[in-house]
Amino acid sequence: MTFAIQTLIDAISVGALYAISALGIGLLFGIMRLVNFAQSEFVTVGVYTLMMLANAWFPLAALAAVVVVVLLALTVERLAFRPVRNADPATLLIASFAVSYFLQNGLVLLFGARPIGFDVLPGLGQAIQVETVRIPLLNIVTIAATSTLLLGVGLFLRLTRTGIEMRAAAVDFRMARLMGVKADRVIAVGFGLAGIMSAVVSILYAAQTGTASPAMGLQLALVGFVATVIGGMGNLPGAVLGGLAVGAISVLLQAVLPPDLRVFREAFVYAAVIAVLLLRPQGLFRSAAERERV
Amino acid sequence: MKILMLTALAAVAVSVLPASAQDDAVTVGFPLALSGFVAPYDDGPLKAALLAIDDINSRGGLLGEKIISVESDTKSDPAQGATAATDVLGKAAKMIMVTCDFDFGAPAALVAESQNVIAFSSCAADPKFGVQGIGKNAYTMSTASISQGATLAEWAHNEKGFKTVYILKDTMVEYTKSVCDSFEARWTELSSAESIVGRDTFHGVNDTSIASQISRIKANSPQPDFVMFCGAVNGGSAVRQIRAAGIDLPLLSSESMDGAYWLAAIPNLSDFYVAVYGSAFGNDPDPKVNDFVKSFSAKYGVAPVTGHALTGYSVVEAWAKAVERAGTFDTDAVRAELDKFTAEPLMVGKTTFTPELHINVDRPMLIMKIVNGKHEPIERFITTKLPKVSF
Amino acid sequence: MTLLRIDGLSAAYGPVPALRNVGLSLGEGETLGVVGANGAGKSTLTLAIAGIVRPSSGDIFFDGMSLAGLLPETIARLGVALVPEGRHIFEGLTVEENLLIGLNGAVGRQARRDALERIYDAFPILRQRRTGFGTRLSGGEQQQLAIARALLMNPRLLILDEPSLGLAPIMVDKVYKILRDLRQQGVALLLVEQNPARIAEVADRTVVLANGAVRLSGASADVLSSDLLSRAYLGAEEHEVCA
Repeated sequence: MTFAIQTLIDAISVGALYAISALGIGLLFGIMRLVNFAQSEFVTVGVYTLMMLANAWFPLAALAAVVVVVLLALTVERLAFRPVRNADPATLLIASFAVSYFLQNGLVLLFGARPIGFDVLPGLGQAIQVETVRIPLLNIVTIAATSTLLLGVGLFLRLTRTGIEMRAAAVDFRMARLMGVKADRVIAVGFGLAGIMSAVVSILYAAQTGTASPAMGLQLALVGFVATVIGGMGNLPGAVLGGLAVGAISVLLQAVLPPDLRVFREAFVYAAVIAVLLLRPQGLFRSAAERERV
Repeated sequence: MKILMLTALAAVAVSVLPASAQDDAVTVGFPLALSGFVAPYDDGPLKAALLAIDDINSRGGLLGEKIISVESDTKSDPAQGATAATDVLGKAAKMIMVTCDFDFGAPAALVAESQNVIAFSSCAADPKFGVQGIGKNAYTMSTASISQGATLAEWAHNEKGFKTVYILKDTMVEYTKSVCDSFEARWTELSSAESIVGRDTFHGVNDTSIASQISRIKANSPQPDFVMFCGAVNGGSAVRQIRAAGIDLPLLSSESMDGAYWLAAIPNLSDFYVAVYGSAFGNDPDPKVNDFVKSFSAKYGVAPVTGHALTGYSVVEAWAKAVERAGTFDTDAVRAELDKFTAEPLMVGKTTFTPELHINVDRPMLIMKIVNGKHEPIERFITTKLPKVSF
Repeated sequence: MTLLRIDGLSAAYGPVPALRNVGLSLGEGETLGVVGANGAGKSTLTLAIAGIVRPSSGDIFFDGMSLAGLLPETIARLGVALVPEGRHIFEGLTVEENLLIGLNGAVGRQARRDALERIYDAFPILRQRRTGFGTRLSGGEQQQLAIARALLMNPRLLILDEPSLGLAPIMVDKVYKILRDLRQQGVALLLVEQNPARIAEVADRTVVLANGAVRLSGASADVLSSDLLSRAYLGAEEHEVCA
């Protein structure tokens, strides 16, 4: 029973991190049909920023990570993606691989490929004991931070004018422009949001792993992409649910599979993804009524 | 201005030196990952090998000839390994040292094999790196992963008196799988299958969290005496998560967890045991190793990051000894001498090669204990029952 | 006063020409019908005006200003609103949110609220369904929403591409009633229809496109009663002007 509850908490906490990743990927995919694999480096650069400021006052280090990552995201948009904005999705995908490769190798040049250990937010190593279940503070903070962020982004998208414009642009970019929504602005805000989300992921990830290594963000971006596919491309709540689902399924499979099969856990996860693609190519979380109009 | 001209002259002198010194110099080639993701693992062994060359040259060289080195970057790309090997062999390398990994080092070694030149991997720990996997000229200075696992099992059982174990295995690379599997085999022989109270796997790169693995360890009642932790890249992240979850059990690991670079993730880490080639921290029971660390630090300004550097030193050391005994640089003669090595006292430890086995299975490893974030040596130890080598 | 003038406009999708040397003009408050067979280039013409399709040659002037090279959003903010074929209601947005997208010009919360109220007065069904998803409306209601949100852009020129396509006759009546009202209010309209049956109800003048070129133009009544019309639909060659 304890194991079951503990696993459930693990599942939510891992899924929460994936959900933010997926939201960042899903947002940019919706707006500009860009599968932004460079988001992995947004996270990684955030972690390296925190590593360099490991001895600084934490709120300052966290703020620096957010600023650095948002500036990076905006710069990448301006220099790498704007020139190819109207290209087909395949070109955009290749551009994002190029950016990702460039940034990753830049980190290797600057810091070397060997992982670097550092300690950020050591207080999160504490845990609170509820009956027999021991909940690490980091899990609670992860769940709280991701919920807050998701709620914040959700409110932003629902209540602000820019947010509504972004949602409109995410489902029909051309129509939004025909109605006067400024492409440059929406895309820049999209990258800025993806930057903020990546920075938050990097802070939580840094607190969890205490390790900076150049390729560490890759898996998060990959899962983020898979999650948006599961959730339905361009469907933001779907992407969030997709991220939660992938994280939760990974953890649950790890928990219930017999030892010999656990090695193939990823294969099971991706088999599930393929099944989703075959059976519901429009994504798991898109209602039939909405689908009719597509 | 004068200085500038002098430097320019020196540069010219250096650049023409190999050509003019061709007659009384012998070349050792280093087709290694000088850049990219594998570079950190080749860096220490390369620097140590260059140090060994300095040491030999300062004693008058090898067979009266000065050893010079040529490097070529594989850029951490196995495919580039062959190109880099061709490059250094084209510069008349009589021996090459390749990357500390079977997959990354083998392409270069295969090129050397085809030109009948000896290729040493610094620390590829897979027995395939040798006669069976590459060819008769391929050697590795490592201690086989299967010996490392068995050694840790026997040490934990006999020396520590541990009764029960939980096995946590990183499945990303063959090395850690091999260490854990050989650990399990030897542990089962010494104790019983039941004393392995649980086992789990994780992936060093793909698992962004090992929360689920940790919950499973904690669900064991009673708790095991220790955890056999076969981790490598990002192992520090896993250890941080394990300790953060309140698991204070002793952790045992192999040389892939050598070094202090990851320790900042777990301040004051204690009860962590690691079997290494030698201490990179200047406190090895063997004073020779400490002298090495001192001269390494003197030459490069920093101590080696891990004990793997010792393997690089011993590659040059072993080859030079074999050359001296053979009295020639001829590959066949040198190989014959290498294959006669029996408990040869090298920097990295007692080293044995046979015509069939070009990897060490019975060289003792130094067991170190991390106490409050500091490495303390315990003893050198090797399993008494050598594992069956399969290729 | 000419509001829209198109000179020698040509456009192509890759090697396939879509518009050939099209010229037309539209005065302030005037309504121009554009008819033609499927594939005649009608939609391309609307997209070229809106800045989505880049012409290969020729120029478009709006209020005397060349639109060449301007972004679609800039053209929209100049006062050109396009209601494209298929309506393109934003999925996942409520009726009201769909309308809000159009409210670019209105500054201040009160001004936006007032503009919205005026639209709700004109389109009561939208007020009724304001919190529901726009894509859940019926076809005719969606067309009303598409027109309504375009009107919120305060356009000086409203371009409608096939507003009656796929609608039940009663809904078509409703849409044309709205268009007649707009005309009364002095909004310049460019009305594109494949079926010319009702275009004369609204359009002062009508242009017939065939194979991307203007085949026939003149007063709507003349053009639509001309026996050249059916030839134009069949792709006749010469360009006729109805006197």
